[in-house]
Amino acid sequence: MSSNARRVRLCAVVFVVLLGALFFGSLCFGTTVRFSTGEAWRGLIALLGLGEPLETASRQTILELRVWRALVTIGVGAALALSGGYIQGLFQNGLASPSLIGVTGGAALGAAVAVLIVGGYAPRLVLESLGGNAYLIPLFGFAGAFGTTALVVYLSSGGGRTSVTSLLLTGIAVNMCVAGLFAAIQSLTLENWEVSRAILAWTFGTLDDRSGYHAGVVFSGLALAAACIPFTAVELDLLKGGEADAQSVGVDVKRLKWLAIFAAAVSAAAAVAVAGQIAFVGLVVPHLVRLAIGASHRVLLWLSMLGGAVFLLGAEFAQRWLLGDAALQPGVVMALIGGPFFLVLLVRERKEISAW
Amino acid sequence: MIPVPRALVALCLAVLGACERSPSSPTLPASTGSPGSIESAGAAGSPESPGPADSSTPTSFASARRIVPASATAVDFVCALVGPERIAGVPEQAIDYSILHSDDPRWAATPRFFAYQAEPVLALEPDLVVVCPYQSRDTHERLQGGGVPVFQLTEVATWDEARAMLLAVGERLGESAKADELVADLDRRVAALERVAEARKGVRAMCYSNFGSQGWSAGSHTTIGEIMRLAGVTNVVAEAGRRGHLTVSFEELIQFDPDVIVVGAPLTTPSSSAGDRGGASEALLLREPTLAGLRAVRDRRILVLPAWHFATGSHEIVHAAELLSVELDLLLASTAEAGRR
Repeated sequence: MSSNARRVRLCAVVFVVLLGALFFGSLCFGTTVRFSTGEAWRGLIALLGLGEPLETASRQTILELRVWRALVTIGVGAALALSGGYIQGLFQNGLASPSLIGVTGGAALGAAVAVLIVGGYAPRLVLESLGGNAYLIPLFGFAGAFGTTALVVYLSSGGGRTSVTSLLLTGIAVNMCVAGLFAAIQSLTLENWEVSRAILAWTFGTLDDRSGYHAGVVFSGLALAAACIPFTAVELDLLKGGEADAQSVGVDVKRLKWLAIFAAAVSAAAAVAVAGQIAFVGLVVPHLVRLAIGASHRVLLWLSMLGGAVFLLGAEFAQRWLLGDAALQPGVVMALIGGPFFLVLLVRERKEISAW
Repeated sequence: MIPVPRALVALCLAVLGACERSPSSPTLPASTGSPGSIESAGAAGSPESPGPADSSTPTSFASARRIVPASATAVDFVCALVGPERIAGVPEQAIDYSILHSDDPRWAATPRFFAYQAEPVLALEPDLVVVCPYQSRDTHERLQGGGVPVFQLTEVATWDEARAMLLAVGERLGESAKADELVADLDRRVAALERVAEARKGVRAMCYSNFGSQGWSAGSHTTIGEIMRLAGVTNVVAEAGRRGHLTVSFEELIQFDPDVIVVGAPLTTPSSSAGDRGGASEALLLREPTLAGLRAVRDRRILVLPAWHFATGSHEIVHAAELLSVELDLLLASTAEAGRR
């Protein structure tokens, strides 16, 4: 077995073990009660319908909330990191992230529109036909994210081909337009402080109060994106030599781009739709995993998924353990970690960047 | 050919020159107070409030005839003491959260301005602007630069602080008699609330707001917490040692498990049939499966306060407490009735 293969296996084992431990730890620690490991285990078994529930109904419900929270955190971390892996592979640049193609901005805009509707800024007919409001934000967030990415891809495609440079520039332009619309909504709702606060809060990201519905959304997006890995991983490796070289060895570059963009968009859209804006996971995790196991997308994408889950769940667990109910929103934590990390990356890769 | 940057600079200079020659510079009224500094309300007599910023005698604004209260709280305090004839304008955003929300026809003709910025405020030609501490200091300075005195209220979180503020504002505006009268009336109402509050002793309540992105509540040192205290109920969030406005997860909500949840009525169209009175927050509480076990949800003990009372930062907390008390009594009576059946 080669040393790289050993590293890959070791990395995978470490991630799986850590993920299991963090998942269980996340059940024990929260902002209110603390469960013993035995109690958390019994509660988990009861949730699966294989045992008696905990002594009080409220404790069982709190445990259930923590299970969904942990699962959604795992899903969001994995989806963002996988999306980042795709985007970095497609752009052939370790500094690229899903927000480049408008996913994050689009989701924010969609969620803001949903908050407006929930806050009463819609005709009664619309409100009644939309029914319950609890799921409106994820729904609109997903639609906004996916719709914006589709717009970026459509506008950057000319004559049946999509150049990476054009995709990047169109992404920047569309992001600016979307940011303008988002700012307009914020500005127009300033007088309604509850609605303004709800819109603002969404931009910090949240993993609290998640349910099976949220887990369903994020894992569906993740599954779709993961299903694309076997059809894109080898081709993304071949793309490293340039589009012409990849085409010369039989890679259908157009198909590859569409698939990679679809996978990146669907996974990131699902993540931001259920958890709000959580930056930098998509940038940091694939980069770290690439440093650890090399640049082959056949393993990089799978391990980025695992790494993303461990990274986000670990950060959340650590801050809850250390800060208790003073814990910050995940978007804030990730920005605090990701900002300095991005600076370090820039400094480390100064030579490469100056050659762009 | 003139290079573009030079042409741009020349154009800018031409525009600036034209502005310089413009005769449109407004003539501002003579100020009534001291334009050099921001005056603080000081809330004399309140144990929680700081004293005046300096030890000199506070400036009187009794002669002010074109007052602009620049926030909902300032509107509450000022408009309770002076009539529309002394008000030059009120902020549009404050209407929904102030006593002007009651559609009193006396205030219908009062000019409105959109945002607390120097230009729209100066356009009203005020001789006094009353502001809150959280408002832009830059704007205060621009106003003072234009010769308009700025009178800054201190933050109010309790009835004692609101009472002291009302008296202080009355004194500064030359309306001490009106302020004394109003305070005496409010004192009577607070005493009346305290007399009947005993019946609600032991009722555990909390306020809650959630528009789908995150849940919020209020602990100690908040006006909504004080409203609950005046209404005779225990604010469970404050009881848990939490202070100020804060996010509350479902997990914490379950842990608090209050008897009653107070939500704010939506400013705009109700968001759904399930939350017709309490809007999105009530709808979410009633529909979220993990919250179905909450006492307040199970027994439908969700009380709705009008948005302007839910968010008040003035002596209107007394009015809000009265409304809450009435709602609470109806609720407790209906629960007792249901229990007897």
